[in-house]
Amino acid sequence: MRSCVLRKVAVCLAVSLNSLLLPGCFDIQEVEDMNIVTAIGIDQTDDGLVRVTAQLVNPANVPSAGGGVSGSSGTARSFIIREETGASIEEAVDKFNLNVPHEMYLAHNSLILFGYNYAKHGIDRAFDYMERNRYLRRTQLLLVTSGTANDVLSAPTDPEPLNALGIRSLVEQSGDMVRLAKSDQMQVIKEYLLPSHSPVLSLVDLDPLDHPVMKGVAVFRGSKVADVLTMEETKALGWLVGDTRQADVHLPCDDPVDGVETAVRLTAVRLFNSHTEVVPQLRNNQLSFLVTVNARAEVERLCPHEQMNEETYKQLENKTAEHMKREMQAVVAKLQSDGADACQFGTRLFMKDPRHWRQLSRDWPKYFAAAQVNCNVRVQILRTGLSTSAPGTMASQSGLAPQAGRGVTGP
Amino acid sequence: VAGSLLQGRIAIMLDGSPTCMLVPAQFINFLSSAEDYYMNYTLTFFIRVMRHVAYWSSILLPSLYVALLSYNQDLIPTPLLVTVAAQHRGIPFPTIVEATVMMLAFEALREAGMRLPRAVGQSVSIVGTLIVGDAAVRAGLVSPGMVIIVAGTGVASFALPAYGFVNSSRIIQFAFVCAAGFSGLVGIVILGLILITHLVSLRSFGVPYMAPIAPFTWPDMKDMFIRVPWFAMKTRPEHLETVDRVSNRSRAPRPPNKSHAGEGEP
Repeated sequence: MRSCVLRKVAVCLAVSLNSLLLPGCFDIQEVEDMNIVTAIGIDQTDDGLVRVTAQLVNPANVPSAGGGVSGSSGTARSFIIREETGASIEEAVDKFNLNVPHEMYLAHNSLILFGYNYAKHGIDRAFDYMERNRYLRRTQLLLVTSGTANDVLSAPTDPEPLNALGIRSLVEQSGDMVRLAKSDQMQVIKEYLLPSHSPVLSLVDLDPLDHPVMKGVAVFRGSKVADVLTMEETKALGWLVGDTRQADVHLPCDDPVDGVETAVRLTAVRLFNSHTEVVPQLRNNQLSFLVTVNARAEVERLCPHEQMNEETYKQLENKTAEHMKREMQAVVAKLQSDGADACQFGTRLFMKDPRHWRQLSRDWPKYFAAAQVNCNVRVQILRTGLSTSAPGTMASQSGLAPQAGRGVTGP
Repeated sequence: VAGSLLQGRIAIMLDGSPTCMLVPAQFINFLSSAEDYYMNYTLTFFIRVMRHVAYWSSILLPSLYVALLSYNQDLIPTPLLVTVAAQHRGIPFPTIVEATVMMLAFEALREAGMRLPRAVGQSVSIVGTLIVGDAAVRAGLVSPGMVIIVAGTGVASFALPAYGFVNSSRIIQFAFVCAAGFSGLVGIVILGLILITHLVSLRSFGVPYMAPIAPFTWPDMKDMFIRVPWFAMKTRPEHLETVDRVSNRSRAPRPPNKSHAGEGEP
């Protein structure tokens, strides 16, 4: 009896131990046996195939590798670019494992860069792969370039040795300003699924010196690229969609003072934050949207020889609001002519009145193009920075004390 | 010893033995030392917490490194992974072998330092570790990261006050490294569960080994991860089931001329 129990216990123990140990080591993978993929570029060739560019870390030339291990041959770069072509992304990626030594390791991929040609034919072909693959993370950025992905991925991003991380920090810096500009996969897919059906992807291009720079955003109609917005227009789009932080607004000076033609005639205001509310309105079958923006700002620069007092303060607030309003109207007009509802007005309408949205949704581009958009901007300037007036007004030939600020005239 | 007696423990002093035994022995006794009760509680708080961290890292550090490097590379931040991959280039052994060899070498050096005369022993353990580690890195046999991890484990185990207690963690860390080498983080979690189950089921003289945590008693947490200031330390630990709950119930001293009113002279 006792031995029977013992045998049962022994069998149980053996089974559990083996089930723990035998599958062990099955997916072991040493770090030196894998290619860490940091960026994937997707292009379309002229014959309709997909060319996938992978950026792999070159461990021999990573500058941070201390201990005298690094080869430190200054010419070689810290990443390798390899290309494969296939009928689909999956096929091309599979080919890498045949043609490049070491396994591809996709879990650290931080960018997916679409070439313009591919984006024109629809990026939804890539969505399935990105959402299904177990290694790819939703935090990776989806970007568009107006050339081919290969060129951007092989360009140097100087202080940052790894091109992908450099581009990523570029995009994240403008994402601090306008959340929309940081187009990670999570956000893009969400925008793709929202009623407006118009994702926005950041646009990264090469400047004449072959450095990647953030150029603005690309607006998609469904899955196909519709238009490209510059960085200024991206800010305006940000004010239309939601909150922004630390955005600069540059205003021209009204009346240039004689003799200072060479000086830059711009007033700049930095918006700390802005808050947007969009209210869809429907009056006798005319759809209109009331966009209310509340912003708080700081003066970054005044026109030369401008004295700061209550009046100029008010003027500056009004001028900034007017300027923002103009920019926003221009962007709305541009989007309406493209028929891409990147400002998410369709989503706002759906959230307010789903039943009405369902009636309109079939012909939404038509309704969107005809919709009237009223902007209502209020800017509140909180402080002037460290000095109130422009330094030019303080100068006095006869050595008098400078005039006091805030409209009070000294003796 | 006096502090433990006041807590309600038993001290056993034997003729000929240099040490004094305290029963019941519990997990937290090994992580607290006598100095804790002499210092200000703010200083003790930091040192106590550091000892707890040091104990668990002396067990888990090498195994976590092995598991992250051979199975779960996706959990390492990208720049760190790139650096580690660069360090690992051209090293012939898998991470698990590397870890085991380095840890064995370190333990041998430590044991050697223990037996040698004091002046030599100190230098053998320190110099030996430094030189052997550096030479192994230069020869391309182990990666610099591994040396840091093993040395860190060693330092963490030296930071603990009880020597006999550390010996167990030295052995357990090998088991954890094997688990990590066989099945990654899953192995570590499973072995950790087994270890915790074992610790919780232990009893010392009828008192649960993990007492203030495992049968959780909130009042006793005052002497577990932190040592609360003395004004909050009125009661004895509940898990020792003392006869008198309040610690050290003698009255406050008074000037001698009023001694007839109360205690003091017979």
